[in-house]
Amino acid sequence: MFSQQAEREIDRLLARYPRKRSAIIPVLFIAQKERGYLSDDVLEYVAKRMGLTYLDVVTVVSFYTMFYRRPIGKYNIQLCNNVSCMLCGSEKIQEHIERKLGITFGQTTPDGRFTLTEVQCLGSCGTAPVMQVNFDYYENLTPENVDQILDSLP
Amino acid sequence: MTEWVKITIDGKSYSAPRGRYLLEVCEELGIYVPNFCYYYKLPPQAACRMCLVRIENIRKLQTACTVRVQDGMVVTTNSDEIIGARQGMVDFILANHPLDCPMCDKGGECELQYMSLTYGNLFGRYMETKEHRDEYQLSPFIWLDPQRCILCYRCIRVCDEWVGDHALGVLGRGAHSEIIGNKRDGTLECENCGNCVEVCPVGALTSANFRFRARPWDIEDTITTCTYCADGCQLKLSVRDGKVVRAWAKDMTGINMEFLCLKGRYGNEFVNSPDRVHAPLIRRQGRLEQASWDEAIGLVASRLKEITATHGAESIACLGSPRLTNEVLYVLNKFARDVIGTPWISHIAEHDWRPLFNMLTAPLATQNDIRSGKKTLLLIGGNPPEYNPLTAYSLRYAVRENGSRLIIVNARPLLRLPEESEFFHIRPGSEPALLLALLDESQLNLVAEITNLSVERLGALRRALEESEDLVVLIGPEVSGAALEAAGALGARWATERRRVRLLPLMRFNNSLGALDMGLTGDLPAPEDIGAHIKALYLVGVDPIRTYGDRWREALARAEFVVVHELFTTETAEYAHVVLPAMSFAEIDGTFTNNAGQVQRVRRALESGGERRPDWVILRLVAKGMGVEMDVRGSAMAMLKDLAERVPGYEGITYEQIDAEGAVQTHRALVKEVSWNDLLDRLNAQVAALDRNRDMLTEPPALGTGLFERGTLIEHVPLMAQAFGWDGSRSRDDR
Ligand code: SF4
Ligand code: SF4
Ligand code: SF4
Ligand code: FES
Ligand code: FES
Repeated sequence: MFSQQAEREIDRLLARYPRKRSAIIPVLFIAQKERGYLSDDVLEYVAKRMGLTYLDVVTVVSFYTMFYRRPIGKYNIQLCNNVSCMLCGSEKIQEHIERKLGITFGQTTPDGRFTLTEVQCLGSCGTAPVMQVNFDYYENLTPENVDQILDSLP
Repeated sequence: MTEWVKITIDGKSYSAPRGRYLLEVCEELGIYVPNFCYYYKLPPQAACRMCLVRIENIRKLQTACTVRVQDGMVVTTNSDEIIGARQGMVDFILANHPLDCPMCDKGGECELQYMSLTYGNLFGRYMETKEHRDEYQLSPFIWLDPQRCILCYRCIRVCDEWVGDHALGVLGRGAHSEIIGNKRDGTLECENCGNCVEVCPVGALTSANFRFRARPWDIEDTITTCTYCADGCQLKLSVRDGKVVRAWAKDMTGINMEFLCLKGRYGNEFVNSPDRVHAPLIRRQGRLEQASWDEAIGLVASRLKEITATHGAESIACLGSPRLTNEVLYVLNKFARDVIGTPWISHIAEHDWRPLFNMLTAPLATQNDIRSGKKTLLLIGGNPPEYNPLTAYSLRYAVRENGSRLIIVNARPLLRLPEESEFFHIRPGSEPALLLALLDESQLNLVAEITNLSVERLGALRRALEESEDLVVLIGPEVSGAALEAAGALGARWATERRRVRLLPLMRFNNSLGALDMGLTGDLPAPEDIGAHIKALYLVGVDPIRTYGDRWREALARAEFVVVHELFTTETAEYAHVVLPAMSFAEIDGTFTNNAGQVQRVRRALESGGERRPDWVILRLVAKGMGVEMDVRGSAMAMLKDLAERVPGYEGITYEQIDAEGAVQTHRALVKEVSWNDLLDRLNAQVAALDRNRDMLTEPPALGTGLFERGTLIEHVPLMAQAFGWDGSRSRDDR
């Protein structure tokens, strides 16, 4: 189903654990990298590949905000709105981004560039409010630096 | 073996077995620690945090369900701090939970309701709107009301660990988590055993047959024994207004602890069926018509006497059902042998188990024998998850809790048994050869060829038995004839001073063994015999057409006289001259003997409507009509006393003993001297005749092969008929 290289990587992961199911998260990451998101068919395939059931896989996927069940934009803006960030003004940041991009939580811009996602504490409360764009953290956010950050993305 | 440690709880000192969970220790000591997610014999989950306690020298409150007791531990289970924390937990749990107990099916027996009474706050601290979700049906038998779910994971764990179906999971996380089933759309495709419903502490999971039909204070429970498979689970039948409304597991003390399968749980409402025969029926001008008892009994007695006079008593064959109680079977045997005087007294069986019991050299294994202590479990043939679900549960338990070794020898891979088991995949039908390998090491080459296992694998199998100290062999119905004798002789061959051996025949019906014990051991007449030298059939609760197929249809048509005691007008009843309305297991007292030879009580849970009578009363009346006063006493209790005096192995068994011990195992005489040469000759002959070219089977038998099978009782359970589409007209090919 995936590229040869990805399949080989999966084999390697499966061999690494005494119980194959332990490899589920890295395997799902590979799958997501291959396909961009995890469709039902991908989940079914992963389950089969790992000797698990669809239920085993879908329940794991649903737990993590970094697994996507639908196609997402090039940049996934994961904005924290847990307590510390909220107290430090994440709601204002949220409003700002929503107005700027014309999307709310769970939506993607029509050009496919941005997705806005609500996430819980990113473990960086000391520099709240915080957002994570794909794999990078941006801290001490203000409406101004958010503009700068988003505008300077390639 | 158990090491005891000293612990202090709430200022008092106690000793407790090291390593036990603190919550369990408290429970045993009668110290109440509230809990939701904890469940007896399930791995801990620590999801609800109701069981918080303080342990000296640990900074935060701890969950008693996950902490193992250690020497010198000082515990406080009750303080303002703890109460405050638990109140906080109830607040959390109620954050999304509706507060409409009167509308909930669980009202009156809900753990959350109880808990809110003790730990609930008058005013919740949450201002947010509750998340509403609609309830929906997960399967024909099970409903889910997600908003009532408190996410204790009991249902998931019970399905994973006990049932082995892995059919439930949690989708999402945090407050948005939701229980879902294993199909793509979140519904269930599973055994439908309802154990998840049974353990659900709240009204989230409910059973389709019971939901919103009764309140717990409005029903009466009677503890009795399941009327389906030979494992013999204990269950409670709940009765309301003279109707069975549900069955649930007894409590933790039955041989099944707290497990029931689909049939035991949802298969009892045939008792209420409007289709039950309610009065005697006599055939007049080809049609069955209602008659009085006097008339019916008079007719049966006079016809039996006439037939005896013209053709001799041996022309009458009596057949009993392995679902009847010991008491009924005992009286039936006496009726056949003493009143009629015929040797043709047998029972309908899926398999002839007699050779095993004729050559029994080891005691029978109880479920507890399987579940306690580390041992080697050898399963030859059979399909416990489908036909002996409790045994399957005990096997999983043994592997999970004790690290027991499970070896499966089967012609097909089996589903829902532990991953850790070792599988010996043999050619279909080659079970006798496998037994030969276990008795005679010199024949491994031959056995290898027949079974398609290598000599090395056979060697490994024998080594596994040699290494075992405690061996239980479970024998499926694929093992027959001489091979079954050989299985019986495994005790003589393998038991040593340091190796205990026990056997468990995977019998099919709730009283299969009782039928043998009560002496219904004659040969079954062949259909050709009927009309030839067998002129009349006396059938108690049996439907040979259903069990043995169409050849019996013509056979019955040839009989001069057929009488049946029945609950329903079965296909066989359609050929009867007289149908006598019998009572079901729920309407009488008595005992069943399970496949481990344990005698358990059957208790009357409700009055039978109509003019029905217990089978033994009917038999006594017929005897009387024939001029014989049967020496049968008036109550089931007295009958047990009588049979306990006469049936070997049942000596001294009484209601009092069964009531006190739950299940009383019969003492079976073991064969002391096995004449090995003769046995091996018979076995070799059987093995020589085996087909060595049969193709290997690689597909496991499907889910439901046995569980969803249609039968006379189960097809009259409305929910079953609906679920499996039997409620259309009865078609013959899905029997
Ligand atoms: S009914 Fe039985 S098999 Fe189905 S989900 Fe519930 S526990 Fe599992
Ligand atoms: S459905 Fe019932 S048993 Fe399952 S998690 Fe929810 S409350 Fe617990
Ligand atoms: S396992 Fe057997 S005895 Fe137990 S509930 Fe099921 S059919 Fe009845
Ligand atoms: S609350 Fe946002 S990083 Fe912790
Ligand atoms: S019972 Fe201990 S956390 Fe639920």
